[in-house]
Amino acid sequence: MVGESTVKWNPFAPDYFHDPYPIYAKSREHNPIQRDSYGNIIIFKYRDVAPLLESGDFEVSNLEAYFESKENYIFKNSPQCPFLAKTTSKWLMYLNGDIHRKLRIALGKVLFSYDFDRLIQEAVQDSIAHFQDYQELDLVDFSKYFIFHILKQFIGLKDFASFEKVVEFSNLAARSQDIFVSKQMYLKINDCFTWGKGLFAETGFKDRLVKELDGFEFEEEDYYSILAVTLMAFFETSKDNLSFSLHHILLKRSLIEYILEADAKQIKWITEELIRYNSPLQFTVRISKKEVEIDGHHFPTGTRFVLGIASANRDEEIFESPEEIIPNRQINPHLAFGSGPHTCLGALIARKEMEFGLKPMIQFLQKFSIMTEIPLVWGNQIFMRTLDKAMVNID
Amino acid sequence: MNYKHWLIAQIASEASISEKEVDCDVSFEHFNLDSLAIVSISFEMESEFQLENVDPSLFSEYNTINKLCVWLESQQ
Ligand code: HEM
Repeated sequence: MVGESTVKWNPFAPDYFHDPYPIYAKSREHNPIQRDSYGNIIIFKYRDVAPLLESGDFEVSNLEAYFESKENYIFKNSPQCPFLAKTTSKWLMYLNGDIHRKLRIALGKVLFSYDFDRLIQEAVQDSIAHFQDYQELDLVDFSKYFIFHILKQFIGLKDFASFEKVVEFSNLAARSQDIFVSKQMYLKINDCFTWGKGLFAETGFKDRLVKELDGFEFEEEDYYSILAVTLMAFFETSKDNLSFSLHHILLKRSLIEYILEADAKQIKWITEELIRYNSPLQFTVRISKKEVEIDGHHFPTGTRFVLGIASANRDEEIFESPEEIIPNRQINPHLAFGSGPHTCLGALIARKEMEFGLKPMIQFLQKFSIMTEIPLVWGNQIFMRTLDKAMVNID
Repeated sequence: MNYKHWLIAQIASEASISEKEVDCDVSFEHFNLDSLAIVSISFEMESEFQLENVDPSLFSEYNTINKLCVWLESQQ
């Protein structure tokens, strides 16, 4: 039977947010397919996760419908106007079938009409210049600053869209998709979504979207939904990936040296390896469209599967020494960008951020050391793992 | 600190019933709560009683107000 072992994934265990990997490893070994108390099936092994992402027998969950079903409850005693379902209605990773395919093509065209090579290289220089005279800095702030400067150039944010506000918007949009979210948190997210309508300038990105989506009969709120998801998907995961990466690199002299001496190909290898190791999106969800069998267990139509991407990326059956960062790892079929029809649309951009950023950033940051007396602060997020603070200084 | 009174008020408000109708020995399942309600109450419990990471599955193990009070008292 599924889930009879005493080894259970429990994101509320003390220390979970600090390091969820030990319980992933135990789950892979002793209880790789678990059922939680809400009926979700949680899967931990690469050989179960990878085929499920690609299979046509599963579809993504519908976030908009989830919010529609919960809004009555969430807003019961609240004067706020419900805006959760509306804001998430065009989020690509929660759409299936024809609308998903068409919207994916359109958003892809818009994204790749930008010259990201230039935007990223400029942002690298900007960020290094900005932090030049710091004696002490937070790697998370550094990463946010960098990603914000790419984002601002391409989405075209309004002037009042301060750095702090965009950071907050992105984070709350990410949290809206987490599991075990309270009503109070949803109210906070709703407030932010309502406020965020004013965030986007009537320029560039939206104009291109409108042109690409000609014939879709989208309304103002649909465009807002697409802008919101683009901002979140762009900002949140790549900021997390960069801050984790910089932290791991500065911890290990051999990684610093590898990067300083690396050629373009070696930078690509370590980029891939860091993304595998970090897996900023730790889980994703799929729903079975028919009765399915996994490892001899049968599951009915409509079962909700929580796929452990981050766990799969540390699976010893696939990766040698999975708990180690091996900078020149060459066989690296990680799932950090997903796989199948919903594969990350921004994977190329996320890779470029690292490929252009790593060397100059490490050249600049190598004079800093991790401040061990100030512990890392991890955010309380299960699906999108996030670092809130990672201090370094010049000693 | 009165855990019991606080929990009664939370359950009454989440289930839209009066506090008098809340029976402290009846399992939470019987109150017809939204599945989100338990997460919301655990969240409120964290801030109200300064606890860290209250596990919503606590509510299935300590599944009545009286049982949960015993757990809460053991946390102090
Ligand atoms: C290191 C950084 C990133 C990571 C780890 C990451 C991860 C992922 C993953 C795992 C998925 C698939 C989710 C699923 O199958 O349920 C996904 C989808 C997506 N990502 Fe990323 N992402 C990153 C950066 C970006 C960037 C920079 C963008 C730019 C806009 C982006 C846009 C998207 C979009 C639009 C989707 C939805 C694709 C679809 O459903 O068809 N991501 N991402």
